[in-house]
Amino acid sequence: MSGKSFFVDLSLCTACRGCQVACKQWKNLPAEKTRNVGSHQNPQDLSSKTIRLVRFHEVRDTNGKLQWNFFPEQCRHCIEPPCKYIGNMYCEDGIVQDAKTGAVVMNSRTAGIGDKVTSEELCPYNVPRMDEESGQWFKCDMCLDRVKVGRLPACVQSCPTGTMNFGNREDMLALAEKRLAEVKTTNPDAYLADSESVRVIYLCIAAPEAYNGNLLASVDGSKMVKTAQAKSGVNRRDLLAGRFGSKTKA
Amino acid sequence: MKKIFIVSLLCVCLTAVLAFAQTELESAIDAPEDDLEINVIEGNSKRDLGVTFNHSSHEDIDCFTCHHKNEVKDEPESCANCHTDTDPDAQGEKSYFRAMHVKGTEQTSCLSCHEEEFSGDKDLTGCANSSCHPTGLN
Repeated sequence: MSGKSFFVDLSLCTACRGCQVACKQWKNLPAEKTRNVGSHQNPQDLSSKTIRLVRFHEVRDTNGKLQWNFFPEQCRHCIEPPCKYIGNMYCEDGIVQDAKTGAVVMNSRTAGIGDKVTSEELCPYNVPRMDEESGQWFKCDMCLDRVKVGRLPACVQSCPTGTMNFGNREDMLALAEKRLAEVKTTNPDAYLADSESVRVIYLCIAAPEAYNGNLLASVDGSKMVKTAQAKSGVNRRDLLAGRFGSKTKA
Repeated sequence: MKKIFIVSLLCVCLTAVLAFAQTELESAIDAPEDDLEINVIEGNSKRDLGVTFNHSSHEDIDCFTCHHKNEVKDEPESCANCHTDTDPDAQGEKSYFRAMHVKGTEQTSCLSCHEEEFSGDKDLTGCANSSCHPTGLN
């Protein structure tokens, strides 16, 4: 099964949030009450009602120039979905993988999972969210109802900039490599995020920590070092775990 | 001065003997070499989802916390002898994946113990690109 994939070209995203709105509309999800915290990102995090979120992050690049990075976050539909393997230990087939497309879909049986696990335990990208009332888990389902009748997912359909692309996995991987080569002529640091393991392939033009959210499945080196420093000194476990190896990588 | 020297020499000898006795006790069960490939889960991708397990980094833990059911006393056997179902979707106590990952059951699992010991540390409780699965889940 090679199935379907998304290609998300972050070098083109203008953070119009058309995808975020289109997702809410197609999924018939209600708005959330939020307050202005000084960012265009709204709401501040994913939830069972907001399964797609454009994240904003302001950061200075190496030349001290201010960069505003946009990251439309969604479920990555992993080839080997940890949420399915972990989640289904606590409920009966609440998380299924569509055989044809590879979409990872959560159904109402995920209510059996409830708060027995956290999102971070289910997902290396911290994407699924539990509905506090029912205990049911929610995330993107690749708009499987649309895809099955030959339509594009709502987010892809709505994207005006060409950031969001959807199609057969081979075609998306080829497109990703082609765009990567193009973008690298002006931005040699560009890279594809976890393209081998997931069905949502992000083309990134800044370091993972320059985006708000979990762009990569990996442990964030800089954050890790900060938390370790916040604790009193470095202990044996940190050293044994080799956590400071990631500092040089980041 | 000479007395002090002799006393300290005796102390050193005693410590050495005690330390030796300690090692003798612990090595009654010989743990396998490090870099043990313990995972036989079969997923969707061609790559196996193996975890490299080092007995040496778990030497503070009693052998029989993990090797919890043993037919022969003091002879730990492989997890896969009983947890035979290597499908990642397998349910029940035969499931290999479950034995490594489940939380909140009577028997502890790799992950449940890591959650307890290293709560909040993604490197040791996380999934892809953690210390357990450092190269991701491809």
